[in-house]
Formats: sequence, C-alpha cells, structure tokens
Amino acid sequence: MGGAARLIAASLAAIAVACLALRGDRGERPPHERIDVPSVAACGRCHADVYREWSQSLHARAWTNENVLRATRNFERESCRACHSPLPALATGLDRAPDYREFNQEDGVHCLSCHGLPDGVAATRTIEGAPCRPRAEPRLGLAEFCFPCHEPTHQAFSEYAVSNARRDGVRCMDCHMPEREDGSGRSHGPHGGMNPEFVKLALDWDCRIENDELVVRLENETGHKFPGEIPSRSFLLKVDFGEAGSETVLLRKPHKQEDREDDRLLPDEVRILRFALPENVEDVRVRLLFLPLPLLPEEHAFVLGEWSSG
Amino acid sequence: MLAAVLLAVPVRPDLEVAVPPGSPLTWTRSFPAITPLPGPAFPDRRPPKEAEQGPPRTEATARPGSENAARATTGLGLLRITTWDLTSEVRWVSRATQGLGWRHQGPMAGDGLYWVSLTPLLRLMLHRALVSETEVLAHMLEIGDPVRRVLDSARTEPSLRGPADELAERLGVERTLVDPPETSAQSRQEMLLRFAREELLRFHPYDPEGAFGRRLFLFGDELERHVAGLTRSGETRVARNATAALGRYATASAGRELIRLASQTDDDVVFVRALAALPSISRTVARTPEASGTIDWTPLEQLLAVEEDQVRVAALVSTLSRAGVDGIVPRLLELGHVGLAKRDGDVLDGVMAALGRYAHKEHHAEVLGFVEEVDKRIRKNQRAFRPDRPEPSSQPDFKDSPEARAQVLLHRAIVLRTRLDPLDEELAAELLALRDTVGGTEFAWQRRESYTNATIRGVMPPVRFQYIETLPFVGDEGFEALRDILLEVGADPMMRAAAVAELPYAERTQFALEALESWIPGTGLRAFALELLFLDRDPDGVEVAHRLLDDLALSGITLSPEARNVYALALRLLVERELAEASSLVPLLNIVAAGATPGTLTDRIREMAAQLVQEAVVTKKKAVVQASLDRLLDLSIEHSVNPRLTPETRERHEERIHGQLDGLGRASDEAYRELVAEAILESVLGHPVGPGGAPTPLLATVPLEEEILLAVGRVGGAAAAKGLIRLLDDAENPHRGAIALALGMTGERSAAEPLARLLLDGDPFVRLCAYEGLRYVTGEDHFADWIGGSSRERALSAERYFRWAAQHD
Repeated sequence: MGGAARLIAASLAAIAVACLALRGDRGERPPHERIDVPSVAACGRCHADVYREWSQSLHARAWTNENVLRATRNFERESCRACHSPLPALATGLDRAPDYREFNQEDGVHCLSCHGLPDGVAATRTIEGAPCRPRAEPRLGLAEFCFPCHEPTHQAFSEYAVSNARRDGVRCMDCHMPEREDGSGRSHGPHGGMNPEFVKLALDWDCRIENDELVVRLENETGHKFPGEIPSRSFLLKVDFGEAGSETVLLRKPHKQEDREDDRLLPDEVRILRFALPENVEDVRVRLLFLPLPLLPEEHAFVLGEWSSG
Repeated sequence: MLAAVLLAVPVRPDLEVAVPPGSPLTWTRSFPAITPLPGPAFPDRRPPKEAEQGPPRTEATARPGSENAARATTGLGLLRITTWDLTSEVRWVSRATQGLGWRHQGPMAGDGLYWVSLTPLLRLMLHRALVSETEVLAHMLEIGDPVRRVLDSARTEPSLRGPADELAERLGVERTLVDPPETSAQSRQEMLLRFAREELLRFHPYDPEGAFGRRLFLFGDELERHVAGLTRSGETRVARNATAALGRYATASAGRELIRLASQTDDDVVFVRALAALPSISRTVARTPEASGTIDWTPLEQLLAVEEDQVRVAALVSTLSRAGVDGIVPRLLELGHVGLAKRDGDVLDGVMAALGRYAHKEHHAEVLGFVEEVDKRIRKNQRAFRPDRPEPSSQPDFKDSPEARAQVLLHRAIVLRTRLDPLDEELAAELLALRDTVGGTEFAWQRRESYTNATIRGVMPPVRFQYIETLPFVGDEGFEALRDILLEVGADPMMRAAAVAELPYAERTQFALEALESWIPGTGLRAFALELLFLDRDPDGVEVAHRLLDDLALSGITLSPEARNVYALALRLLVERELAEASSLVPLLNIVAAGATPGTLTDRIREMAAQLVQEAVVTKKKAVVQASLDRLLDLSIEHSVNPRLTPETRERHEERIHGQLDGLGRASDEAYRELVAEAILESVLGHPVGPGGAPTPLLATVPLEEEILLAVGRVGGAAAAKGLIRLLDDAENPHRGAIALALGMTGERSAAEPLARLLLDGDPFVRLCAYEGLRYVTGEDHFADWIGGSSRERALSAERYFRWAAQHD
C-alpha cells in the first residue's frame, strides 16, 4: 500500500475510532444530533439532575399541556408550533422564531432546542472529550437568548426591553433560572407562573384605609407585564366589604380578537386602586390571587397576599 | 415608574359553553346515579308462608329511550364548558372545592356540583336562543340548594338577574335539624328511619362525584317506605333529598308516591324532582301492570289543566309527555296556541317537543293544524320568536344568530310533521336534509361543541333526540342516516346511542356486540350496548355479561369509572334475571378484598413502566420489550387513563416510549432507569407524576364492590358465605358494612357467629348491617339501637345472637 493510501486508511481508522468513542454502548449517534429522541434518552443519561428539573417545568410540557392544547386547538394554530416544539434556536439566530420541529413534539422545548449546535452543544464552558461536545457559547448568557420563543407571540421581550431590569442588566435567567446553591449551574426547574412561591416575588403591595376609601398599592417587581405572557394567567384582586358587597379587579392579557383592554401591570408599574367604602362598613378584607390556569377555582389560586382592616 | 389611578373595570371576556342535546329537563338523566338493586334486601329462600309474597320484581323490557342513553360515568360529562377562561373572566364565578376536570368535557374545575350548578346559567346567558328559560329554571330547581353558590354572583350579570332572583325565591330556605335526637331509637322502624334520614343528608343527590344512596340503596326496596315517609319531613333538605331518592326506586309504589307528592307540594324543588323520575319509572312498570299495579296519572293531568306557573307547567308537560300520557294532548294544543299568539318560544318549544312524543292517532288533524300554523308563522318572521332578554356582558366566541330560536322551532315542526305524515316524500326529504343544513348563515353553535357531530350538525341541539327518533319514519334513507350517526366515532356518544336504539334489532345487536368487543374508551357506549342486549332479550347478552365477569375476576385491579360501570351493570343485569352463578361471582370477592381505588391503577401502570425499563435493559430482545410495552398500552387504553392515548394515537405513543427507552443500556444505573420509568409513566398518563403536577380527574362513584357483594349475597350458598366471611378478616376493608349485609343475605347458618361479632363493631353502619343480616339468618329479632343506642343494650342483644349461633353451629 502506498504512503497516501496508508494515510487515508489511518485517517479513516482514526475517524472510526473517534466515532466509536462518541457513540454510547449501543452504537448511537452523538447526543447533539439526537433532538429526534426524547430528552430523557438524548441527554438524561448523563444529566439526570438537570433532566429532572426540566421535566417539572413548563418547557417540558410546552407541547402536551392541556391549557396549550386547548388554546391552540391542538396546534391547529400553526403560528404556535415552532415555539412549542422548536429546533435549535441558536441555529436560526436570536432575532427570530426558531424553526418548527415536526417530530418528537411531545418533548416540547427539548434540551437541544436551547443547547443544540450543529457540531456540539452550547454550554457555559468548553469541555474536551465529553460525549456531547460542549463548548462555550456566550449567547446562552444573553437576555436575548429567550427572544426567539418568548417574543413573537407573547411579546415578553418587548416588555422587558423597557424595564428597569433591562436597564440594570438583570437578565431573564437571573430570575427564571436561578443559580443552584451548590454552584453547579442554573436551575432548569419551574420558576415561573406555575410556582406559587416564585409568583409571590412578582408583586409588592400594601393596603390602607384613607379617609373613606380603601387604597391598594400594587407594584410590579418583574421585568415584564404582570401577569406575564399569556391570557390564561390572571391576577384577581378581591375586596370584601362584608354584607355591603364586594368588588373585584381582574388583570389579564386579552385573547386575540378579544375586545378587551390589556390592563395588566406594566413592568415596574405602581398602580393605585381606590375603592369607596360603603356606609357603615368597618371591616374590609382584601385578597390578592394569581390564577396560573384558566378555570381554576379560587381555592386553588395562588394567594399572593391577604389583608384585613380589622 | 408609572402610576395610575384605576377604578374597577368591567370585564368583557370570551366564554363558551356547549349546549347538550335534548331538553334541559333531561340533562340530569345523564348524571351518574346509584340505584337500588330491585327487590327486597333479603331474598326469600324459605318455603312461602301462607300467601305472604311481595310483588314480583318488574323486568325492564322497554328499549332505553334515547334520553336515557349512555348515562355518563364521568361527572362532567354534560358540562361541556369549552372555554378555559371561566374563573379568570367572569367576575361572578364563586367558590368551589377540590377536584379537577376531565378531558374535553371540562377544564380544570372545582367540585362537580359547583360546575353542575354553574353551567346551566352559562347556557342561559350565552345561548338563550337554544334553551328554554323555564326548562333551565326547572332543571336548576331539580339540582336544588347548591345552585345558590352561584346565584348571588350571577345576579350581577344583567342577563341573569331575573332568573337568579326567581330561582332564589323558589329555592327558599332549607331547614334542617342541627342536632341529632338524643334518645335511642325505640324500635327497628325508628332506627331505620333515622338511618335513612342520615343517609339522605350525607351526599347531594345531584353531585356527579358523590355517592348519594351508596349505603341506603344497599337495602334494595326494603327502605323505600321509609324514604317515602321522609318526603313529608318538616326538614326541607330531608324532604327534597328523599324525593330524589324515591325517584331511584323502579317501583309502581314509588311512582304513585311521587305523583301524590308532585300534585300536593308547594315546594318547587320537590315538585320538579318528583316529576323528573316518573318517566323512567313508568317505563319500568308499564309492562307488568297486573303484577306491580298501575300508575294513575290523573292527579297530574288535572294539575296541568289548571296550573299557571310556567316553570311548573314546563316540568309537567315534559314529564307527562315522556311518560306517554296522551290525555294531555288537548291541553298541549291549548298551551301551544297561547304560546304562538304570544310568540313565546319557550312555551312553543316545550309543547312541540311534547307533541313529538306521541303517535297522534286521536288528535291527528288538530296537531297537524297547529304545527302547520307554527311553521307558517315562523317562516314569515324568524326573528319574532327571539327571546327577549338583556344582552349578556360576556359573549361567546360565536354568537347565536337572531334566527336561532326560530330554527329550533322550525326543526321541531319538520320533525313533528314528518311523524304525522311519514309517507310525504317532500317532508321526508326536508327532514333528511336538515342534517347538513346551515340555513342562511352558518350557525355558530356548530363550531363550539365538544364532539364533532358532523353527521347531525345541521340539526339544532334541542331537537336532536327527537330527530333521531323520527328518522326510522322515513324508511331506508332514515336508517342510512342513523347508521351514519352511529358510525361517526367523534360524535356525541349520546347521539350514537340514540341512533343505535332506533336501528332494527339485528343491526343494533351487531353494533352492541362489536362495541363490547372493541370499545372506545370515553364513550360510555359499552354500558349502553350491554343494556341494549338485555332489553332486547338477546341470548348473547347473557354470554357477554358472564364473559365480562370473567374478565373482571382476572383483572384484579380497579378501573376507570366507565369500566366499573360496565362491570357493575353486567352484575346487576345478571342478578336481576337470576342468571348469576356463585362460581363466577365468588372469585370477584378478591376485588372487594383488594379495597382497590383508582389510585391502584396508577400504581399498576407505574409497576409496568418500571418492568418495561428493566426488560429493555436486561433482555435486549425486541420481542420481549414490545410485548411488555403492548401490555402497558393495552391496559392504559382499556382503562382510559389518558384521554389522548387511544387506539388511534397508540402508535405515536409507542414511538415516543421507544424513544425514551433508547438511552438505556446495561450500564444504566438505577437512578437513570427510574428517570426513564417516570418519563414513560408521564407519557402514558398524560400528566406529570411529580408532586403538584398530577391532576386528579373528576371521578364518578361507581359502587362496583357493593354490586359484587350484593350479587354474591343474593346468589347465596356455602361457598358465597365462606368467601364473605374471609373478607371480614380485614378489619380495615372499607366495605365491611356491605359485606355484613351480603353475608346475611346468604341465609347460611355459618354466617351467624361472624355477624354476631360484628354487632360489637365500632362502626354503627356495620352493626346495622350485621343486625339486619342476623334477623334474616336466625329468624329472630333482638332489637337494640345499633346505630345510636347504648353499648350495654347492644351487648345484651348481641349476646342473644351469639347464643343462637352457638346452639345452631
């Protein structure tokens, strides 16, 4: 065999060895190519903890949760598909919606939807020799990273763009993917509208009686409107005047074509609500409720706060 | 920083709720309801003494009417709130308690009774043209006091203020004693009466999740007269619930008592509840008048002749016509003419629906004249019959057209005219064309239903049942249309059941057998199919029922409400006809022993997912893994654990699970295997399995264990007694009362000693059941107040039974 042929053969052999090294013990493709496989199999083998966090999040349920299925009529609404079953966002860029992943949709926002690169996975650092070929990708750390899915129909980024959070350099992941206490990275768990303790952080508020009025102050502490993003979330302020009746204020994003004003709290907004006290009313009770899902009875609402004048 | 002063703003949300087929007065007929096993609690196994025999059990020989078809086994079956945004949107939605929704029939919800109370108001608000206000009010009165939970709030809605005020006034205040009596019952009858009273208050009769009558009805017809007596109670709630309970007894005596009640009561709730049960009772007893006595409708006919209250008139019209009382036809025509003159669409709708239930041999010309007049007037001015109500502050996605009410009446007219003149080819063509008709504008209601209903979409929902019942009148094409409806898999199961009931015997039998073999979960059709076979006296029905029991014995786990309902029905049908055998029933006691709950099914699926993972790791043989996966999916589909996992979507789920298994290898550690198993479990169940993630579906209570026990007790014999005694070893089994009753029902002497021990049990209900059983077994009555009396007295009486047991051992 001539020198060139030996070189070619050796190269091929080396490639073959490298490929074998990359494959799992069942001869699979490298992890970064496996967005067609459920996340538990694609990435969960090595990243069990992160997978477990993710599996509890709405990202994991982006395609299958009943609320979404109802709202999109089982994804008859095509405009919703790409963000609820995205191909790697980094491939298409951060200035537009990702491409639609028309297979393995049940995985919703797959690990590789965020971390997928053509030749490896996006990470905070490069690790040579790791099977999934992680390499440092600075775009992961940008607030803009969330733009492709959270802006086109939900406009979360435009809201954020005019917020104090943006001004102060607070990014989406700083709140929604907090650092783990053990320093092992950021939590991929449910830090959003389905987490009652998390939602409580969104609002600062107080109540007082002033002259003949109940005065309620609401301050939006988030970097976007409150409630955020989707019309299925609502904030309910309930004022109970006892036998004299009650008042309710509902803040919610309107549905498309709904003849309703978007009365949600703007980012950083302080809103003062005044309610005239009925005659002879001594005891007033206020409840601040967050309904993460439509048709949720009040008993299941997140109680953000309660106040009583008595 | 932004600040704004904002006053409370009105909401204008989007809302939607579907309108089920038929009349509002029949909506409750599809609520889950526990009924007593007909006949006495304790079968007469001894040679008859003198001529002392009770009336023989009646046999249900009538075909199930379409309005009774496919009783829902999931409580939200008829709510069909098709919007998700209710509590967020509508200011006046009030409190609810735990429980979450069930697939397409409802989103996440509060307790079933809350939604049952709310939905009719939503229909009245959003689809006034499609529902009769008087009938909706009657329906809500039938539900009764729980409706109050939404009334105060509903009053803030302008379009509902009137109905809400009216309902509140009619409901009145329910008076109930707060404290139980302090003294012991002095007789068995008094004790049973107290027991019945307490049972009537434990659950609400219209709670789709509740267990109203679960213990009460264990005693068969035994407690009917106590319940009847309690309809006269000074405690309003007791009287009302007793009326509802009485309606569950399929006896002529119950029918007569209900008629007496309806004709005498001032209480609108009692009135409507009494009337609601009568049509099905009348069908049951109609075939054996010589054995069970007749029902005299005269008091109600007389009442209809003079009644002026429109809600009561609506309820009377509906009941009497559904019971086939043709003496009221002249009065119906009278009401109809008045309604026509006043352009009262509610009255017209009720009258025309009623007229559509008769054959009209006697009043053919008058009815035809009336309906032609209606037809002419409506076609002349379709908007004239539009209900006059304030606009609601919330709108549905698609508003009803101004002609919607007129279209309902027109469709009724077409149906009625076809029935009056079935040979008229033009009418037949018009009837058949209704299915696809969309009228001048597309009717918005067609796009908002929970089911596809493509084969009947042109027919207005209130008219659909009668439309289906009329299709056979037009011959072959009508039967073709029925087949279309039946074969549309996505159609409302009630429509499909109604269609199959109208097909010729051979066809409906074939359908029933196929439905029982390869059923589609979530349709409720399997129960209907079984009932149909028995009502048609098809010999295959008995064989199928026996096979179902064999399946049940093998399954060993508890099942979805729908599946439980089918098995309970199989047991009931076999026992009623004395076709059940101990050899097939006694093995079913294992299910009672398991004390299984729906949670057990999830555990079983969890185990199977774990096993599947294990096999994928260990065997690597595709065939083995596939077989395991098949078993998992078979079980899940059969028991409807996930509404999105069906035979049609099975392949996709299979693909996904294979994908989830893809990462497993021999080196996979335990933690990873658990992770994969959990992922598979979530895929199968369709919801997260972690804490805070799993929705609890709304589950109807189907007393399958009690049916098994009653069946075993009825059949009797030494093997039955032995099996029941063994069950008593488990002091924690929640069914011990029913076990005691069943044991007594066997009549076996061996039952005496274990029953005597139960007289000392800490549970009053267990003691009661043991005592009733011992009376039967021993023939001796050693009364003590087993529920509330002193332990000393109970011990003394118990001692007497122990002595009997020892002497007859």
